[in-house]
Amino acid sequence: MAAASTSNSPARWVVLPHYAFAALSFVVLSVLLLFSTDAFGGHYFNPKLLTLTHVTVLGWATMLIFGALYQLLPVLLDCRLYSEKLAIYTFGLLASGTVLLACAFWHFQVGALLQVAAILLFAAFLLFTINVFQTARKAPKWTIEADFIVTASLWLLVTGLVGVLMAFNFTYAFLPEQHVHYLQLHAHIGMAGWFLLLIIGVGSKLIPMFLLAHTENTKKLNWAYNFVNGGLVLFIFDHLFLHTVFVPLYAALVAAGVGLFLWFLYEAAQTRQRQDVDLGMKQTFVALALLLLPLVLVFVVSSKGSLPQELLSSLYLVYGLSVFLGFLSALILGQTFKTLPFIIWMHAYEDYVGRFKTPLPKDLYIHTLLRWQNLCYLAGFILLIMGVLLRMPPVILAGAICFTVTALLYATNVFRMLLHKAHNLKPFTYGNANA
Amino acid sequence: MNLAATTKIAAILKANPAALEAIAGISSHFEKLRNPLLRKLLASRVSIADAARIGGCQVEDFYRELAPLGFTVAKSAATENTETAPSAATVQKPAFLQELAPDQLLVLDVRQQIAGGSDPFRLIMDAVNTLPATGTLLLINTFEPTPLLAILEKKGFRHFVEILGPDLVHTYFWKDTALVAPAPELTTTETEGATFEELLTAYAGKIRSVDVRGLEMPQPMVTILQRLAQLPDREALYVHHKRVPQFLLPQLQERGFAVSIKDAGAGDVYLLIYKK
Repeated sequence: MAAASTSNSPARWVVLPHYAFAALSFVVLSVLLLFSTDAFGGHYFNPKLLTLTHVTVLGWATMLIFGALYQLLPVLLDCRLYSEKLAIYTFGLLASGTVLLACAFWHFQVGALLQVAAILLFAAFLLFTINVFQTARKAPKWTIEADFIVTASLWLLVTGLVGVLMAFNFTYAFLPEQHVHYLQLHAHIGMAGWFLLLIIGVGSKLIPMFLLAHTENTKKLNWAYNFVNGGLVLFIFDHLFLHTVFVPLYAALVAAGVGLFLWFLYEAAQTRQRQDVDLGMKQTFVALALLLLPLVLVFVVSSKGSLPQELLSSLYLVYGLSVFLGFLSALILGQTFKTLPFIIWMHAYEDYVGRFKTPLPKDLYIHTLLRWQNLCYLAGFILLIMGVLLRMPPVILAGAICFTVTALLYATNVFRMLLHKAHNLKPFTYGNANA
Repeated sequence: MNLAATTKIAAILKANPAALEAIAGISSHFEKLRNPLLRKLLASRVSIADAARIGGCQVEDFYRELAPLGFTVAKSAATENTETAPSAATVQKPAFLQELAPDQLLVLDVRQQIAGGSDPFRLIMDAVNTLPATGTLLLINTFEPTPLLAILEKKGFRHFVEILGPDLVHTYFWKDTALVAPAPELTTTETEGATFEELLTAYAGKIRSVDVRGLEMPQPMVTILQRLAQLPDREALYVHHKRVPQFLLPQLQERGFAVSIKDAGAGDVYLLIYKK
């Protein structure tokens, strides 16, 4: 792999284990979902829901984002990743921390096991943030994407810190407020600070790129950055010290930021040269549409209106589901098939291009499976939301079954790509080549 | 800056972009320079003397119009003989062109491409390359294609320009086998450190071009590497890309190609790739 060593691209063993672990996590979480249909009838502070949420955000979403970022950072920032060794340690810490945390929550052992898991995860976030910072420092040109990614990694660190404090609070109860109070803080810093900022930063670059569209003016992104961060900082400050009724206002700031991001994408899409939309991009558009659901629900949950308590607690659950199993999962299900095939193809074929007949990235996965994956996912998500709102466990179970099918289809395609090897390449015979 | 008959229009425009308006005012022929594509195409290859001939005016007209913008004229240049290049209209049309059989004449009309804002260079080169040894190419254009004359001369083509109207110019090209000269040797020492424009001139007439902007990753890389595998040794590949292709560069290095990159901004990157 002579060429790969001279490019900015990291080695494959830095990136690919993340995709494998994420695919397995998705299968595990959908199986756990099958056994958790009873958990959606009450409060969100429930051991099974805590397990599900953390497997989703850590093992599935964060794991995949870490892997994809190690590949994308060099492209976005135009420099090599600071340390591949650090990335491997981060993977080990994140993977072991996630497994331990899931066990601790599922059996609700909130003592030493939970604390160890929390510390492992915080260490993973710390190493990741160091790697991102040091990489960004080497970037020849500072871009708005770098702002988003670096800030997002800082918020991830804050999310982890709050998580560690809560893990110890179970045993020592040193925090002044109720546990759930900090859980809201922890969840929202994670959602808006880590996931949302990161997705805006990476998405604003990748989505126009996949559509072959122009993006010249980043003004909207600048304001999106200011709005999301402003809303989040105000929310944290208020939530910790003031307890005012202005929370919907902060939510509105974040929503305005997301709106600007979507507007930016819409404008870019107008200039696209590519008219046919493949399955990966279709799923990405579904994810962006699903983003509207939590944007509406955030006002409902933050205004704590005069809705009946039972409906309100269902809405809390739907709000969480719409972020983690809705927008985030939908986006990953789509973007995996825009990034992973290219990475695999690059490592397998870059030295053969032009010399042998090589397949293309889109030939590395089975399109029929992907189509069914997308359909099953959407059906599963709708059933799940309906089941939770209507408090009907059989409907939730149907949704969970759809999710399991989705996960198996996804994992089949992902492992097929991960195990792909170049073989039986036929050399080109050029008619008038004068080599 | 100092002007001379041999000063390239591109150098003038680079020194002071306002010169565009001044030059465009000299002759309606130079309105073409307002078109960014034609400007790119012509300005770097046309000197003041060439331009004066195309526009039917004098080199002094340029000196006069450009003087208010701070351009000066070297003493020797002001008095130099500007009549060295004979005006096309005064040369007699070669007899054989008048008796040419229709099957020996290939007619290429590029007026629509020019009007539509696209570069006809590739089209012309394709026609030239497919021209049989005894054939003649008739290029129908709106102006005397000065840069092309020089490029094709190096490839051993003779030409005759017939100005039939303010916007109608017929140019004939035919191969004079006696004139074919070996292609100039391009060694690494000559090309190393050369600017993009210099390389473009050095490879004039030996350039194949490809536009990969409309292709999805990794198709641009696949296309470029396939073209390079077919590229004759002394030719270069001119690529129009959307971005500097990071995954391609190490592959080029590994395969012994050198690349010169011109980033025109706003998603327009030009690459000139040639064998080291």
